[in-house]
Amino acid sequence: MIVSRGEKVRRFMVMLALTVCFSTSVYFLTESAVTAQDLVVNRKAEGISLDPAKTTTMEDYMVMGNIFSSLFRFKTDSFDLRPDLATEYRVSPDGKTYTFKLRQGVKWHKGYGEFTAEDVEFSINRVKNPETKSPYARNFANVAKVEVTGKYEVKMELKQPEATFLQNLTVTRPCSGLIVSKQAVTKLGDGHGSQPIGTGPFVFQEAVPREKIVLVANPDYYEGAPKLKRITFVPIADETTALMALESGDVHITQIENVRLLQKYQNHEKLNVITGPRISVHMILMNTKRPPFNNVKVRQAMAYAINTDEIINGILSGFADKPTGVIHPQMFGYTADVQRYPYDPQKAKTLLAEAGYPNGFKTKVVVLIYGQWQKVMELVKAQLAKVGIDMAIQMLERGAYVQARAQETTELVMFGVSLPPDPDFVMRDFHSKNAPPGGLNLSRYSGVDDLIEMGSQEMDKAKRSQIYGEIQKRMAQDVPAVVLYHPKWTQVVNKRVRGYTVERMGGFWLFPVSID
Amino acid sequence: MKTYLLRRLLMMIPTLLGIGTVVFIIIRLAPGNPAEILLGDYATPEAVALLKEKMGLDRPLYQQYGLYLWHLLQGDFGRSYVTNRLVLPEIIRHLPYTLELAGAAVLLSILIGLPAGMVSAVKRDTLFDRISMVAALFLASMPLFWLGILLMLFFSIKLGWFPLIGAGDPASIDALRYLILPSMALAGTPTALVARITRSSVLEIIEQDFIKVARAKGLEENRVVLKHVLKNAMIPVTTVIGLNMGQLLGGSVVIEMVFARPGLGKLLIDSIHGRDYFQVQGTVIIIASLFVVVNFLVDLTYSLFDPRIRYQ
Repeated sequence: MIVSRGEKVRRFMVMLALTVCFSTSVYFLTESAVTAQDLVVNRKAEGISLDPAKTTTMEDYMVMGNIFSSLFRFKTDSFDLRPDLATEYRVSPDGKTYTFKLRQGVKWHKGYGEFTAEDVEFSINRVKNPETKSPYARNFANVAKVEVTGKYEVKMELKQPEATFLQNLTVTRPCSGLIVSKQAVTKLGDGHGSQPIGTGPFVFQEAVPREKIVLVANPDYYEGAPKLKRITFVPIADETTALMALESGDVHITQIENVRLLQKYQNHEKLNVITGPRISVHMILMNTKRPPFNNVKVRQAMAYAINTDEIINGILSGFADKPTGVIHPQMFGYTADVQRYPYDPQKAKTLLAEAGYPNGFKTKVVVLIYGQWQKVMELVKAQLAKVGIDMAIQMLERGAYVQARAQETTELVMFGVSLPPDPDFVMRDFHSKNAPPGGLNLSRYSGVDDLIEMGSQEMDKAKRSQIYGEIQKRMAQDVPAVVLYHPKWTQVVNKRVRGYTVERMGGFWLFPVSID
Repeated sequence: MKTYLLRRLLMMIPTLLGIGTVVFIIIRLAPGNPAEILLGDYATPEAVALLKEKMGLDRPLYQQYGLYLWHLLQGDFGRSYVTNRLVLPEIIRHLPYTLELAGAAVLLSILIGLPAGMVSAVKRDTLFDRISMVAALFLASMPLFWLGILLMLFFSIKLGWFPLIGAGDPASIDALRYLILPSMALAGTPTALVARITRSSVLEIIEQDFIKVARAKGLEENRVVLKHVLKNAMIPVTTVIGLNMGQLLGGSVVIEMVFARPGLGKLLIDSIHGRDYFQVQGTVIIIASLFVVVNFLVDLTYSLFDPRIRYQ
């Protein structure tokens, strides 16, 4: 058969096109192979820095908790501390001097030598030093001196006894307790925030801004080599996308704030919904220095008028605990023996009338655009309307919210906080010395100042517990805040992930984890 | 022509300075300041004051503005408050993801919209015409993020063909796999617009006398349509494509959030949240420059399609 040159070219082109089509479709149809023990975690957003003295974001803590260690660590199943870089400690009878014996033979990542007492001294002093401009300088303001008393022994002297001192030295938020390498920070300077050196189970490998942070296993970790070979943290802000990425297998773990999205995943073939205790409180803070909220009857009326059950069961699908006050039921010193405010609109109206507002009043709440807060506030608005309180809702993004909530004219603020388990951390925000600007006592409450100070310095557990009981009773009378609920950690996890439990401070502790 | 080019290029300078000024003012009008946001809830007021001073935010506004302009004119966009990295390299790092995305979307909208519009016009009032115009209406009115989610559900979760999030390495062929779904989502609206504009402008041209002449002198119908009709119909179509580039850059912000792509849009959103003034200013100026340049190129292409348009 004679084939013309043009025909040959045409046939060749057709074959070429077919080959290209075939190979590309095979290429596209092959799923990207994920190597075993290669875990992908959604941290939701870009962080600020991986330097423990610098960052304030949860997103950084999620990563850093796996790179760094501190003197103590919370147990995975309770809020008790266990030794980590410290092996044992002694406190002097006056509660002012702590001596820590340190773990020996711990290696810094990437050949930065051995961990010693000098690193502890350096880390604490670095946070304290105003030059560092650390947001956590306050945490160690009470530390008078850190002294190296041996290669593996360090002594810390406090200005006055501090019941929460050990928790400040723990892997938790705030991150100030994470120990950094003196040699690495000195050598890397500001660069330490983007190439952190720790002693934890995973070693920092690379960070691609807005795309991923990759950690690899540290075979020399002092509690043994982790089972996972690699962890990739990705920043998926949109929770719908994050859940789809879990369904497709691109991501293994994510925290979800919009709990309504979780219903679909309750009985999923590939995914589990898991919850965990979260020392957190979401509440409406009332400005006790401004009318009408300077009147305790108005504040009590607010508490009677708001139906927290409806919020928890309706909007939060039950993924939250019912509160009795600011202190979480799992915190040290919690008591349920306080005045309660069951939903009672009639009583609220009576109290309002007694306070001189028989027809209610107008007010405004400042709210951060976050999770389910808008829906929660819309429900609260409807509940308050029933007793004549007309509450406008001002939804703001973070920068604007931070400014608006501290203003003197602001009457109501929707506020939420997740903190370490000691009650002192949350109570500090109700001390009058922490009123804005510069502090978070947004209700400008001053009714328990004396007790907060006693509680923070009392070293006797029984006495301390009594103090916090008294605080809760007084606050239940004064109602500087209507506590709406205690949220839980709500996460969706691929069923192939083994050994994973929710880290109670909101991070991801991935040392015990493996993939089937 | 040369003077025209020069004049247009020079005109870009005041345009961009104007944009720079507007962004400078707007981002500072937004409540909240970078030092407070960066240091978080538990910082001491002293630390905040110290940081403000280091950031230069304690200076009067006119001084900040003067310094900013002075540095800008030297091509210095400043440093990010949050990462302390130089703004321009950061933008350049994120730029390829957005350019790839917008470029792929434009390409898709031309490849699909143009033939669809032409066939609709030539086969006016047939079933094809009806279906394609309803489809265009549907695409044009669909919110971007929703289209993105639908595509994800179908192609990533149901069929498992494409990765759902991220962007891959922009320099490798692998990036294509990551590009397909977001660019399809982003191409929805422009495809519909291109199809509709092509259809109406082809319909207009096809009635003109010179087309009748072309047919009368016995030209093949395909040649009539491709050579005479299409070329004349391209001017409004090009305008629409050019104007759409701006919308695509805006739309890429949404798509990058939905698909978690590390592009300019995501960079911009993050820096606005952190009140990262220099990063916001730099990013907006670069996006605006892209828009200005694209519009300029679109204006130039007019003369290719219609030789009567000559720039003096």
